[in-house]
Amino acid sequence: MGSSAKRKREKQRDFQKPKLKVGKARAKADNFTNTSFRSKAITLPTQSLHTTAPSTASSFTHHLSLLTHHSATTRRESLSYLKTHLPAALSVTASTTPNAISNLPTISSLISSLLPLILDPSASVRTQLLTLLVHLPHTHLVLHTRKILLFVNSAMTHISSDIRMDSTKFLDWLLGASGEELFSAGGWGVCLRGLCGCLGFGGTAGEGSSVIVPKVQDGKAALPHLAVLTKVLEAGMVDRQDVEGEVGAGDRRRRPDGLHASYEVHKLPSRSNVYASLGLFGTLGGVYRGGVLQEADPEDRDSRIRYLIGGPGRGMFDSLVLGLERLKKGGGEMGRAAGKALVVLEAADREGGSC
Amino acid sequence: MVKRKRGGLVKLTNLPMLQNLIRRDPPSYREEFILQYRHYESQRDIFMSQPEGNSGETFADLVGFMSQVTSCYPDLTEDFPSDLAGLLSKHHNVLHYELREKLVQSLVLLRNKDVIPSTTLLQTLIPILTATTSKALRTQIYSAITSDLRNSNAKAKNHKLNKTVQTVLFGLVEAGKDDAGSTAGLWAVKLTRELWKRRVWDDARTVEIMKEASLCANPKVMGGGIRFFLGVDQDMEEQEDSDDDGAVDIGRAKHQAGINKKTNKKRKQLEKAYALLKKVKKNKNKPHPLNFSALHLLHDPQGFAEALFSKHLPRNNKLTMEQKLLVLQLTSRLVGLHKLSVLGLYSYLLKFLTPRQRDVTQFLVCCAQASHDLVPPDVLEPIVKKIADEFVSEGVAAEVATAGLNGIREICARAPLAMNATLLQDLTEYKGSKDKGVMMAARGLIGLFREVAPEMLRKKDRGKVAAMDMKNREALRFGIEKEGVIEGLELLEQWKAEQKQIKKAAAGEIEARDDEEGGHEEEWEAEEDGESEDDSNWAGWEVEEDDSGDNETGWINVASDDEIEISDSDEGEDDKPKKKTKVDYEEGEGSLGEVEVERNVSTLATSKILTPADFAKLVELRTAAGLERLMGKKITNEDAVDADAIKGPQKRGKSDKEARLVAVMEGREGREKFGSKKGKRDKTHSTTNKEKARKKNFMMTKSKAKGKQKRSLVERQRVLRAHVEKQKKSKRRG
Repeated sequence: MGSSAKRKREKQRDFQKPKLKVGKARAKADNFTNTSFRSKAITLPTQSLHTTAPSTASSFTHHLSLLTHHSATTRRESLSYLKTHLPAALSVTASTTPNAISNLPTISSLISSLLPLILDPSASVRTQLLTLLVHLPHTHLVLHTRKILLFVNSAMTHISSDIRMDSTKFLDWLLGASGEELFSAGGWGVCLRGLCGCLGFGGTAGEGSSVIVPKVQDGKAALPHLAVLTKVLEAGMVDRQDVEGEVGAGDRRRRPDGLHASYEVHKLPSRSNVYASLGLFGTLGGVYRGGVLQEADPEDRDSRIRYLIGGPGRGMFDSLVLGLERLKKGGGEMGRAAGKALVVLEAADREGGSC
Repeated sequence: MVKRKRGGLVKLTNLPMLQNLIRRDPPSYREEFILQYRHYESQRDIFMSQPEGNSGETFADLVGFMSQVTSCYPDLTEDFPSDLAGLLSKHHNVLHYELREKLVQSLVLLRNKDVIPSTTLLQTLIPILTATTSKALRTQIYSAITSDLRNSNAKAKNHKLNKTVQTVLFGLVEAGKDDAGSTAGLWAVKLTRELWKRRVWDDARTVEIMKEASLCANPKVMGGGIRFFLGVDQDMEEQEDSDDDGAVDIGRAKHQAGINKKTNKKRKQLEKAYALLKKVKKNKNKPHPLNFSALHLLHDPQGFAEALFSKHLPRNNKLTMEQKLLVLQLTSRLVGLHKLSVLGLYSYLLKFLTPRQRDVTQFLVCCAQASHDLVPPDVLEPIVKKIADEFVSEGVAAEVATAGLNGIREICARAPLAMNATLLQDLTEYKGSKDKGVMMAARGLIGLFREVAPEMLRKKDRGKVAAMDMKNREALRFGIEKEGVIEGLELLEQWKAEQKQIKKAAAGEIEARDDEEGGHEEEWEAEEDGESEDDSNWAGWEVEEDDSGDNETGWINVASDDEIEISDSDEGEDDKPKKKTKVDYEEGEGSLGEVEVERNVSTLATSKILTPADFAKLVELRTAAGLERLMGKKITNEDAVDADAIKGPQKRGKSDKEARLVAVMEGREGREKFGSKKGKRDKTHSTTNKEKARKKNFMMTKSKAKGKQKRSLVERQRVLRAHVEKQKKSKRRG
């Protein structure tokens, strides 16, 4: 028909030889490029050329910004770059100049950009992050423990089991970094509850009966959790002075430095924000529950023990004991680890019961 | 409940999955939910430590998840709604817009799932509505509030909720009343207006909010309040019209059901469409619940009008001309409707009545609206005089004269005493004007005064009817209100009497025939007989009524019941009144004829409840008697004065071609039905079989055509028959 004839003609045209005529220039090819112009200089507007490499500070900020990149590989690469270069840079400048002057990222900005990666869906990013954190200097980290704990707790309750699994590793690192200072800014109850959740000890709402013991194949996963739990319990409830031995047991009235025995009680508090529980400046949570003040987070060792034994954490304590005993009965490596944790708990129970 | 087996140990990896599982079986997934709730809490704390800027996608997801399933675990999530509300009301200005939107959505969802009461939702949202700087958030909250209020008032009015919300809105309006800079009341006005328009609120309390708004110092709030009073009823009617358009297209739905895959879902959709259609049809015939106009629901119109006038229209007020006009319109409307006296208004208006004034027709409208029969004539007289001097004189344009004459007519129609005879006679001279508008306006004035005070007109202008009627007409005097009479009532009475006569005559005939021919047509007579007996019974009762009627205990009540029942039907109407009037005739026999007629009329209206059928008949009789035409349209103070009535007929003039074409096209609007349908498709569709057949290559149809010729006689006959049948059917359908 009409249309097909037209198409045929069009097809034909491709194969026809162009007619050449004497005295006329040849028709130009399709891909002809005009090269007849002259110029003194060629400017390429998009390219920037530096004689020097980018400064370390700018490359740090660049890589920090890449941490929110959508590709997991990029995030991991940036982390590994930071791991190799940042600790060295920080250790050089930290002693001499403040970070703000040296243009290096401050600890707080570093923390705020690194922490969300605890919840990263990619496992390789998380492991890379952990190695970076391990390499970072521990100075000033105490100021940020509260925030780090928030993220760790968030990871411990994450819906993805892999992230939950890795969460205790970060907690372990934090324990190593800040020691017994870890819970001085609160977060004790939440952290323990999170660990319970990781181990699968249910019944946080007070129904101790519904304890779910992790299955045998979960043993490998539960083992590091158990180890961290033991560490957390030790950090929270074991008295350092007990471990090191009694210091001033002989003369209670007088201290070796000549100060009064009750000096500790009356001196200025060593912690920051002692009256946080009063909610004077708005709690970190920021939301009041119907005008009732939030339960004060226990901040020192005694109150932590009290919280667990006689306070609102009693149900959690019971479920912990119950779950650990079951694991202990199961025996094996798990049983031994559970036994260690149980020892700490029982010691705390004795102390809490006595005082 | 037994924990269900999870299909193949599904690993929970995302929230939608968990949400689905929780929905199916809440108790079994309690542990998982607790974990996620704790996750939410930790995320919230993280988020709270730095609420600004970041979009918090994960947090938003968690909030969405929580609000979906929180109704399954009310014991665990008591704090959740207050958390959201607190977050929103504290940080709405710094939150990321997506998260903000999500929070509002979640709160609305919680309300829809009945987790939180309406009052909580509204008390959270309304303060944000006035405080936020984000337009998107405002729109979202506004629609959320209106839809929530509509829903909670859908089945029955939720008075408690309405009261609370109205109190909050009233507070908002009142807070910024004296502050010209505060626009807090603006949203209250907008919300109230919308809810009034949708008939969610229709009480005096709503009107009170708007009254407060129209007394606000802020011109925007004031304008909103005043526009509400001036225009909201029209809006309401339009709204209803547009609602009708939203009806379901059942034909389309049926067609879709026919061609698409048949699933249960589709079937249900169709059923639903049918049900909806049925409901719409049912609702269409339902009478509207009583709706008082906002102006009628005002508690203290006099106080309101005075406050409006004194607050917004002092000499040194800085309102623009449009705003002043708005205030004037509302004030004059109030004055006219409730017959108030705000005497300062007239002298204020006087200043604006010059032909050069912008929007002078609006001022004329205001003058007309503000005049009623209880305004002292000496207040209105200067206005009429000024209009006459400024507008209606030699050397002014015809349009100006038209507007002036029409304005005077409208004023005089409401307060005839504002006019004196000499001025009127001067003005009526313009009936001979060459300009059509002026002539018509002058004639209108004459027509008006023929009716109200023909003695003020020149003799030749009075006309026959008016001149004849002049004898028994009293002179107009200020402060005397005409007694309420129903026009044409005597006509109705006369008609009823006639009907009775006819009936009686017929009955008499039958009786007479009965006497003559004996009882040989008994079957046919059975009913007639009953009636005639009835009649005679009435007659007997009539005679006896004076002495024994009252003694019969309780029977009078029964009779009156009977009467109401009867008067619904046409023939029954005449039974009762004739009796009553008879009695009256008998009573008033001795007195003068005129007085008798008067009393006669009044008793019909007072002794009997006139039914709608009666009124319909009344209208019919009145039109027949030509009374309607003589009287012209009845003027009430209910409606606003139409500015077009004052402008008079507008001459189109020799405008350019485009303008003329536009006018032509305007006239053709809505007449598509009569135009050619060629080349126009109602809606997009694929080619029909007919179109395909028409375009088909002839060679391809040739053989088929040949087949037609080869048909046998029987076959041909059958085909023809079938064709005829089909034609008939299609004709019947179309």
